[in-house]
Amino acid sequence: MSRLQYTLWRLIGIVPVMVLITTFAFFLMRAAPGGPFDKEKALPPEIEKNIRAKYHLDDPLIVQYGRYLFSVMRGDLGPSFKYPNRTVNEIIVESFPVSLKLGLLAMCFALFFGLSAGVISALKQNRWQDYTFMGFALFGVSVPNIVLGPLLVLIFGLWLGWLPVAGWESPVDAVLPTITLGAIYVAYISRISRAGILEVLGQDYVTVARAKGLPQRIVVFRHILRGGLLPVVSFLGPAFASILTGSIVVEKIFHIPGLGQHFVQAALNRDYTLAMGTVIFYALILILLNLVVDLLYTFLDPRVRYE
Amino acid sequence: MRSIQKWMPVELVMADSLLVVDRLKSYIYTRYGVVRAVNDVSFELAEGDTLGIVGESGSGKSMTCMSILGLLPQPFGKMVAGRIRFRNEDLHTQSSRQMQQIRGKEIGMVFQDPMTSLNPFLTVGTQLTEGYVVHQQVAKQEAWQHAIDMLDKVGIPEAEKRMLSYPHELSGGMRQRVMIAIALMCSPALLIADEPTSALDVTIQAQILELLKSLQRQMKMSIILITHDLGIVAATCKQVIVMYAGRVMEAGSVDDIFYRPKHPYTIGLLQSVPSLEADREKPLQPIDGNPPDLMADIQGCPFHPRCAYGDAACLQEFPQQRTATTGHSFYCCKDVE
Repeated sequence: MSRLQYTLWRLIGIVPVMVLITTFAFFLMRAAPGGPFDKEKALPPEIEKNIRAKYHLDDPLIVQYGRYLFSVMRGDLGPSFKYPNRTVNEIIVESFPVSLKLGLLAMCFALFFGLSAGVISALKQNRWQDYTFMGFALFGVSVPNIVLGPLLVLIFGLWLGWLPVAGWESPVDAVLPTITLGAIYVAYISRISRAGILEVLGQDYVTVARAKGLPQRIVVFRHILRGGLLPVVSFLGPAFASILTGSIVVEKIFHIPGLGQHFVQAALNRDYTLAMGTVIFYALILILLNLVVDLLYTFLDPRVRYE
Repeated sequence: MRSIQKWMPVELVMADSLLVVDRLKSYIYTRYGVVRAVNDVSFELAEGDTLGIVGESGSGKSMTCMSILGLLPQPFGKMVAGRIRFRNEDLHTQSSRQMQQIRGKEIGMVFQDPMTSLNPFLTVGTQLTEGYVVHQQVAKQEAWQHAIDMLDKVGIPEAEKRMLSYPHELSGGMRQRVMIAIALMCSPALLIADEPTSALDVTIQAQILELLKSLQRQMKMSIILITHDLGIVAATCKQVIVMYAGRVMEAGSVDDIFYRPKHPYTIGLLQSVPSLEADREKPLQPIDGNPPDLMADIQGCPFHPRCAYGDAACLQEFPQQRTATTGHSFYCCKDVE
């Protein structure tokens, strides 16, 4: 099978998965108690009836499901129930770039520091560099961003006054959210890359490379890193997806107008279409990123075949 | 006076031995204790000769060769005593940069398992040429052409096409040929072959050994052949050392070792090998027991617990070197025929 055929196959495979996810999202959302138009003060029955009719909420559930599935398949995620006159598509198009930018920043931050720490730790195994970095990594994995964020705000925003505590206007606003969001991935990536490299270090072909009299630089970059960092690549797809979805908390802490904010609000407000739309959108991103990683693998590891 | 020495012809300065290993000790410092992997090993190798190092797994054969290349497992392995002289230069005093110049260029090495010794992520061509480019300071195209010639030489068909193959696309025998080609790229003076055929089928084994022999004639190199297979030694080597528990038990010419063995361990090894001439009804004689734990402090002769001739005298100290004939020495206090 050629690479193109393989890619096409995988793309076709996305359709049934998306149908399943849409189905789950739809029924789970409806299974949650309450509805989009519940207020503390109940609406007069006739007004509520009108609203429900407008959004077709008075149809049988299975009809609503069919209609929703059909419109999702055409790429239309429907109107928001809470933001009148705005569609879910519009909201995603407007707010996702903010989340994406934050996610990319966090990812670059995580890759740079995670890889450096992991590579150095592995090459200096069981020496002080290793212990220091892995100590930090353990710290990074253990502290959730819901703790780290406010802590950083407290230290750098309030006590030292170096960085803004919240907002999303100037580039310095991005510093603390990026660190908060990326810290745990710095930790993960450093641990994964360290383990991967240590495994390669024990391989015969690394000894062979040394026996060829190659300079250390070539041994490390050509022979050790290539195989040692493959596990990081397979981690990156899911990691990036969860950085994008994980920014929910960070966006909340730092008041960043990203998609995560809308997701949380939509779930709390029972804004059915927005919540489902966000879930479906995130799912699609996760699937696509995994596909990208698998394709990347075929370039990086010649042993991988398309089957 | 220094300047005079500098101008002396190289031949006069050089002794006739290419490699002299003198009372080498290499230890591995593990978390659980010190492994005396190589314990007082000495041997010499003349230019163009083949030396066989025989012994069971863990007898220190490979570690001896890794010491020569300066590739003991880091950071736990260390050469603690002895001298290794290669072309009259002490390898142990060389800087790591100088060792890089020697590895791959002057001393080539073929490893045991061709399935794991090639980098799965790189093409055969890259793995062949990278050392040559570094050592000979040539352009990549030139190295590429040389590599194709080398693949031809080791008997790989369609060499040009194979250069672009990845290791997983080749069979085990082909991979070992590639490994040999890699080791020979820079025409080294010494080739260390660590069990080069142990992972291969018997028919392929014979081909690879023939190949090594013919390449040795063509390129006039010395070979150290590490093996546990006495048949291979008999077929290829001129000199043999028999190792056990990190020590040399017996050393001599192939004829000395096979026809006039002096050490009970060597005798035991020979008796445990099937042969065409031997009486078919007579069962093979295994050597009972297991090799000793090299982390333990071994008193006297390490072979003593498994030796048919061992007695209290063997526990006193490691036996002195004894000479049977010129060039044939052994380490045993008993007279065994």
